[in-house]
Amino acid sequence: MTTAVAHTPRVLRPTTIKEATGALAVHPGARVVGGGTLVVAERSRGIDGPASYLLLSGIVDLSGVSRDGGGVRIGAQTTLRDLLDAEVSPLLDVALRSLATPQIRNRATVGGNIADRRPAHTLSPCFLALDAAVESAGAGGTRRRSMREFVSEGLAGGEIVVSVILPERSGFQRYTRVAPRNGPGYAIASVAVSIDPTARSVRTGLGGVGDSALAAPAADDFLTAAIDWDAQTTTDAAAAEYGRLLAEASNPVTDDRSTATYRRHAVTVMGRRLVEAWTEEQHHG
Amino acid sequence: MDDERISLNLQVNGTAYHVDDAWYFETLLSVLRYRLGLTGTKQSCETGSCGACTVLLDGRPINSCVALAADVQGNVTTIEGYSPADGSLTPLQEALVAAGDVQCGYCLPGMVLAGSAFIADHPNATDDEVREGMCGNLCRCTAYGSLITGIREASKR
Repeated sequence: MTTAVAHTPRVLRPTTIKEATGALAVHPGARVVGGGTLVVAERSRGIDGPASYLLLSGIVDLSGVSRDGGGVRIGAQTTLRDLLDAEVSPLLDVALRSLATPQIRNRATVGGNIADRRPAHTLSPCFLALDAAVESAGAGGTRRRSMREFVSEGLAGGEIVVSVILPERSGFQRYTRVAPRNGPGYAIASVAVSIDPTARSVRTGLGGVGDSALAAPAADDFLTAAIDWDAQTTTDAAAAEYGRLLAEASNPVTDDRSTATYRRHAVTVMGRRLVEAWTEEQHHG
Repeated sequence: MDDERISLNLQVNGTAYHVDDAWYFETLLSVLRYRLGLTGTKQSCETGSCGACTVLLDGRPINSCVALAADVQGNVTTIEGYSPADGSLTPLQEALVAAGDVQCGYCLPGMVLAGSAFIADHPNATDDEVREGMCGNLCRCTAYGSLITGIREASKR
């Protein structure tokens, strides 16, 4: 029997980025598998499984953490465990320790955590705070966007994440979240922030309070202006206002984990406390 | 249809296995238990939450329930391969027995394998380190106190 429809192999195993994007152009229904922890768990939960999988594990160019000057390039297939071991940022260190379990971190990948922009996932808020860029590849080639653009636009059809690039950034970097417990489980809301005294810049990422991770440019600009960079200090009122602006940047929903009202309140408090923690660290740390 | 099935080559407990009629979406857990007969690896939540299905892949603990068998490269160690062939116990297993961390036993193969990787990385572990490092393994008998004691003591050896 012949058919006009291209037959999709059940398991596609590209070995290069070009092979992967070429295969996705021909077989758009294939589900991209980084480490599989999310894709396989969803199938087990009864969410319809795809007719075929495209495994990224055979693509050597997607793996590993490399340092380039002051910056860091994180390949999409880097496991969360390997990113934790690489100690690239104090903010990521805390975030990754709170992300799922050692077993999951040994398998789940950086690309998989950010690719479909799920709001509860941990890494996108962190990469926003670290002012990262995302490199993605599709049939038309490779492109590089800021993390801010990536969280609002996402991947185009047939694209894969290639790497996350972190610029050099110094100073205070912190991740905090509200969750049912400190152990494994998605956060209800999270805030990541970096306050860089060299660049005199504030960058914030919010998790769990929108359709995807969210940047908070108005809050960043406000705090940047409200900080006395020479004295490395700011006011209590500015800390509170920064928290309020984070809530304003949020667009949370009420779902089975929490309410929109609580999520807004949580980012307000977390934002204020993060600025207080920064002040504390400058003067007593 | 023939093309619905795939073939797999897996290295488990030092033995090379070939499976030629696996489903393409089959998990490592399913292949271990139902095709290779290695039932020491336990099936429980099937969503990567509980750790009962923990095996080692190149020495690192993973949840075999959320690993596609088609996507597993490297050496898999199950509880059958970890435990001494003569029926004796490893120091870690002895420490868990001594601490009384054995009730229904269903979580134990996963606990032992995750614990073996943990103590290799954490000599003289503190209780807090054990709590964090073993957070991927649930015990529904709630024998967590004795688990912490057992892992902590084993990390001293």
